[in-house]
Amino acid sequence: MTKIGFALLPLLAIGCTHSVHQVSAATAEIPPGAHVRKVEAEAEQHVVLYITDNTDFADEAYRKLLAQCPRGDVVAIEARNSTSHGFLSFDNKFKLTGWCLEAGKDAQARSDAIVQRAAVR
Amino acid sequence: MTMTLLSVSRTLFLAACVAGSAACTSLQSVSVNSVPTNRSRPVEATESNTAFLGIHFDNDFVDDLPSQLTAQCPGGKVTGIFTKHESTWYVLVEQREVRVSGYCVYERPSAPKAPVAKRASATPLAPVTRTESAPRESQP
Repeated sequence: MTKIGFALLPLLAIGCTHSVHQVSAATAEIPPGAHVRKVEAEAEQHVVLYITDNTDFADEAYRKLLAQCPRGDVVAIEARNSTSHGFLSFDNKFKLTGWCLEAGKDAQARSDAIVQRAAVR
Repeated sequence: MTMTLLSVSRTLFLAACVAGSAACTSLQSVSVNSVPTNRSRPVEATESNTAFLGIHFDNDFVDDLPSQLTAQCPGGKVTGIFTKHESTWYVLVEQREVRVSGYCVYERPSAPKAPVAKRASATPLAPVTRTESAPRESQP
């Protein structure tokens, strides 16, 4: 019984630990006067005994992020892929943050004017 | 005692078999860049590569992905590219898969480029003083 206890000890030891696998960040090009707001999305996947056949949680987080900015560019996206370990299981987490660059009505009108002026020239 | 250990070993072996047959998929990397407002033309390409014991002899399977994307967007620009690299183990075989998706946008050729202010993504963004607006992206 003691041997079984020792065999399970490493599994218990790695519980409650967290690891970050990847972080990526990007620069943003913000036109002067543009209206920006922060958008954030996260998705998780609970895995028991390493058994899983997909990584859909990453796509889910991405979908959630874009859904928060339907009428603007999503810029300066930061992505973080991490895992939180538990006993015989772990949680894969994928977090995305970015900035929604929305063109307001005023900015839109001015943009249209610029495009029209360029077309006349 | 010996019987208990044998029983535990058998259980672990069965668990490993179940895990192997059900596959162990892990996310290797993800890259994302700026996503355009116009997302009406999504493009996507996927390539995979399988190898016994995970011994791969090259990484050429990803080489065609950029051309596959641009082929779906003739005359346009593929932007908002989301790349996902995952690997799956089926007992003794590993499969690597890279999926790339993006959006095909068309820019007005006569539109002038507005001056832009470059900022690091980690910097908090405050409202920027307007001098001139950027032209809108539009379809042809």
